[in-house]
Amino acid sequence: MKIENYFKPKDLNEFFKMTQGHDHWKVVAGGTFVSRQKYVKVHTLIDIQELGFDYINDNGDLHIGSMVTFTEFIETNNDYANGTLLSSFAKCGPITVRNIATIGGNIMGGYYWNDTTPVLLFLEAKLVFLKESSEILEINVEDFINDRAKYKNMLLKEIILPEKYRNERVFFNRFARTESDIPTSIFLGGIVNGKNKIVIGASTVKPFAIISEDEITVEEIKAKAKEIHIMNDLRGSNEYKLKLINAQYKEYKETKDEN
Amino acid sequence: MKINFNLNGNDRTFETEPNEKVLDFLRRIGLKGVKRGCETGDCGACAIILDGKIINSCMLYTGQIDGHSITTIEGLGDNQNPHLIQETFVDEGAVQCGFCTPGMILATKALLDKTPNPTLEEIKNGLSGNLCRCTGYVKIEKAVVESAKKLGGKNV
Repeated sequence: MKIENYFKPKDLNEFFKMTQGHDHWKVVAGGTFVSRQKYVKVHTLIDIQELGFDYINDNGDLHIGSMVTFTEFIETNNDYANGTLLSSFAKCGPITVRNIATIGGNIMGGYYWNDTTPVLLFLEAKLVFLKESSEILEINVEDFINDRAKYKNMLLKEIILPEKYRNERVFFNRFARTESDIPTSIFLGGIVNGKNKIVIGASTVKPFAIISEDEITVEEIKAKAKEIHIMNDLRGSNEYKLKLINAQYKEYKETKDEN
Repeated sequence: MKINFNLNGNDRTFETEPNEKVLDFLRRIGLKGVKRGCETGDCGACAIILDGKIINSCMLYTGQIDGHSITTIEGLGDNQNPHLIQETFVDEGAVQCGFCTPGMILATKALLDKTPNPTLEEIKNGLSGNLCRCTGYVKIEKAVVESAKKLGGKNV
């Protein structure tokens, strides 16, 4: 990266003025992701810490500002979805990362794939983007996952988690090689509105959901995983990841049967 | 570009470049207790305290600390007047090669300021961003426990 400018807008007007006048800009929202991008063409960094997106409003739906750090959310002890959100955020890197990395930054970061999108997909979260001239765009996480390039020059304001999941029990398991690494495999499972639901996230793979009235088998998960091409990467081979998913499924089934 | 922030208890103004990382900047101004390790946020050798929280200085640009408050190991104590946590790390033999030690001590300080009597689980979480290749962590964890006892719930 050849960074020549560093801007810190005081408000949205300033933000959009700055982004209009420059090509190759990137938002700094915590910084842990931008810092790792050594080979990306970025000339201007725009630090959004003064735009006021560091709020949590828990009134019906849960609204989390994009600049809330993982630690800030964890410190609220919010028990949304019986603590699923809390325990998944607590796994997003070691304390040195969670103290500075923001939830919005993690979503917008380009790693295949990040820590938060699988859990947000399971919980049917919505993302609120701001466009120029104060236009607001509210989309499902699933739409973001399927066409993320469309949103790369928009400003993520907040994440909305629907009230209907507030008391849901969700099985969550995240496996990573090291504490600070992105996950090799994430598994979420539960029964929502009387239907079985499983979400899988893994490095190199867009998170995907399977919903069925019948019990979901591990063969169905593997078939879907093969269909979307789980690939080899530095975190594990295709075969290794499928074995992990198999182990996570087994643990999920055991927990489910116990309950 | 100019940045203003509180460094080890003193309000300071510095000239920096937009692409300068906090790690590089702190070492440039002579604070060599901030160690250059992995530079990818994995090891914690470059850890500093930002507004009371332990973070990796390799992950931040200098513009991000403008208006904030940071503490490096030099802000805690020195050879003549070591901080109680520094003394305890020495007494407990929690130091071998010493490369991770500044980060470990700052992580301990941030932990004990917030949680004066931490459980072992809280200690492990508080030090989760700091890697040590020498000690196997047992003596470091003991040093945190002993520091907590000596501080007796006080923030120092």
